[in-house]
Amino acid sequence: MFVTKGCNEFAKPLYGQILTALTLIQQLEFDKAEGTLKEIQQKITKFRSGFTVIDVDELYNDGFVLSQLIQLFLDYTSYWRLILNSNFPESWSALQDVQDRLRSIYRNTEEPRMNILRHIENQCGQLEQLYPYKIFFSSGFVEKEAICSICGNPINGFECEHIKGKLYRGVPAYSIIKKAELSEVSMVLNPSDKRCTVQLLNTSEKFNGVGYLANGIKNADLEPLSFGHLNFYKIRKLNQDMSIVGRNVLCPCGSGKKYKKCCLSKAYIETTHVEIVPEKINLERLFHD
Amino acid sequence: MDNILEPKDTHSFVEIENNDFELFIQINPKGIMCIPRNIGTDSPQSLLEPDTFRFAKWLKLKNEDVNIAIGKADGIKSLHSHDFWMPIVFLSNDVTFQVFLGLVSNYIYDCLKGALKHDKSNVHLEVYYKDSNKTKKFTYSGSIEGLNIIIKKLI
Repeated sequence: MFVTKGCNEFAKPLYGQILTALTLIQQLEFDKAEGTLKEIQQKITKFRSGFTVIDVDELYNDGFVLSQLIQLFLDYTSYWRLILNSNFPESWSALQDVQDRLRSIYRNTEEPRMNILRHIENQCGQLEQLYPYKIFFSSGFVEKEAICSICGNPINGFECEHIKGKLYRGVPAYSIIKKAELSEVSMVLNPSDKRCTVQLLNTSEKFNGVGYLANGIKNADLEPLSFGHLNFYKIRKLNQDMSIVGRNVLCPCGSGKKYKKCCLSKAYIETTHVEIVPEKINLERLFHD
Repeated sequence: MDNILEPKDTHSFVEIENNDFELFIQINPKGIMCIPRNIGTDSPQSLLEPDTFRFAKWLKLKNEDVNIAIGKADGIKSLHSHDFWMPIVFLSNDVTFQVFLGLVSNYIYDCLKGALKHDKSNVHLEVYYKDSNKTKKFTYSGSIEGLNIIIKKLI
C-alpha cells in the first residue's frame, strides 16, 4: 500500500501491534485498544519528524497515510464504544469520521490496499442502513475570499497551484474561507457531510436496529469486526392500533360499512425486519493486500 | 414512489443564440472559458460553479495543450455536496465537444479515487459549443453512469 521502501520497512514491525489493538477491539477492550493505537501513533509522529529536505515527496505522503491508518482504527474504536454505550446519535457522527478517514486513505494510495480497509468500508455501508437518517441538512455558501492552507494565496486563482484534497509533501491542501455569505440551508439526500440531521432522542424506537446490533455484541453473539452484512426484508404484522373483529360485522371505526369493506386492509402493517449476519474473519488475513 | 429529492438523469441538446458565446468565439480561437451564472433577482450576483477552480487546476496539471480561463465573478458557490457541479463552459473551435466530455470523464474518474463504494455522486454540466456553424447548448444533470452512456455514444 505504501510507495516507499522507507515507509514499508518502518511499518512492518508495527503490524503485530496493530493486530493486538484490533484483537482488543474484538474483545471490547476499547481503552486498551486506544492506548496501543496511540502508542503506535507516537512512533509514527517520531518517524515523520525525522524526514528531511532531501527525502522524496512520496515518503512524506506515505507517512501521512500511515498516520491516517492508525487514526482510522482510533475512530473505529470510538464508534464501537459509542454503540456499546448506546449513544446512537453520536455514533452516527463517529461512523462519518470512520468513512472520512477511509476516503482520505483511498485518495492518497493505490491498489492493492489492505483487505481490512474494504472490510471496514463494507461494514460502514451496511451500518448506515441501520440508522434512521435518510435526509440531511446542508448549507450552501457563496465563497467570497478563500486562501490555500499551503501557500496562503487565493485558492480560487491560478497563482496557487494546489488542488483541494491533494497531498503536498505529506500535507493535504484545503481551503481556508476568509469571507463567505450563507445563501441557503437545504434538505438533501447526498451531502458531503452527513452529520447535520434531525435530532432524535437516544431512546427513540428509530434506533431499534442499531440497538439490536449493540445487544448482539454485548451478549457476545457478534464481535465488532466480525459483523458481516445485513439482510433487510419486509414482514407483515398485526397492527396494534386496530381492533380485530369478524369480517362481516360492522366496522369499529363507525363508518357503517362491514369491516371487510372498510378497515380490514389496515389490520396488518408492513415493517422492515433486519437480520444481522455474522462473518468469520481472520484478522491476520485482513491485514494483507 | 419516486423520491422527489432524487432527480432522474436529464439531458438536452438545443440550438441557441447567445451573444456572449458569439463574442467569445470571435476573440478566443483557442481553449475553454468558464463563465459565471447570474443568480438572484433583486441584486443578482455572478457566481461560478463549485468545481470551477478544481477542474481548471486539474486540467492545467494534466493537459497543458488545452487553455482554460475563468470569467470574473462575484463569488463561488459552495454547496458541500458529493455531486460534481462542473463549470458552465464556452468551448472555442480547437476543443471539440467530444474532447471536452472526455476531459470531464477523466476529471470525475480522478476525483472518485477517494470515494467509497456506497457514495453516490451526480454530475451537473452546461456546455456551449459550435457544431457546423451553429451554436449548441448541452445540459446534463444526473448520474455518472448516465453521463458515461452519453459520452460512449458521442465518442
